[in-house]
Amino acid sequence: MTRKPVIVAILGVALAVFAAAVWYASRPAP
Amino acid sequence: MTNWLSNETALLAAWIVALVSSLTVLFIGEILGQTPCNLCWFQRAFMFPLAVVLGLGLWRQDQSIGYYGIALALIGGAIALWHLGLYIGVIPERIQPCTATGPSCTDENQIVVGVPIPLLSLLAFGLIAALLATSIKETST
Repeated sequence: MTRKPVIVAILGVALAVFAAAVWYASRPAP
Repeated sequence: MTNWLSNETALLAAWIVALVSSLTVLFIGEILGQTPCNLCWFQRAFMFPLAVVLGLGLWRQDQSIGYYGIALALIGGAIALWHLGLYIGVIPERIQPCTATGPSCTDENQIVVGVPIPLLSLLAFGLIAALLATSIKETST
């Protein structure tokens, strides 16, 4: 069965990518 | 079914698809500001819980979560199929549940990176349903 650290790692990466995308999309225009 | 895809791997893959789909629609809708149409909301209503319950099923090592998840995925897929039918014009527009005051279900706003959103939705729900069916099938043998 999938180990819990794997689940946490996938969730962490997904949320980190989401946060980065939100930051990139909402940065002020030059 | 051969053993190239184990039941736990199938469940994990289904969860990843649901998680990525949920975060992507949140990004498109809330960050890019593309207001979801009524049919999009119905599809969201079935995709968001998939990301939660499949994750919990993996965490608690509960293989039977596939049975609950596949019901959500099939209903969501049916809505996506209806939406796609409206989008490509197979289903007459007069029965679409999108009002004149809300966002359209069928205009050019329904395209993301060149692909219609209903098609992406149908592919995601279909993939999740297939993966969950795999996990159920291997569990019962």
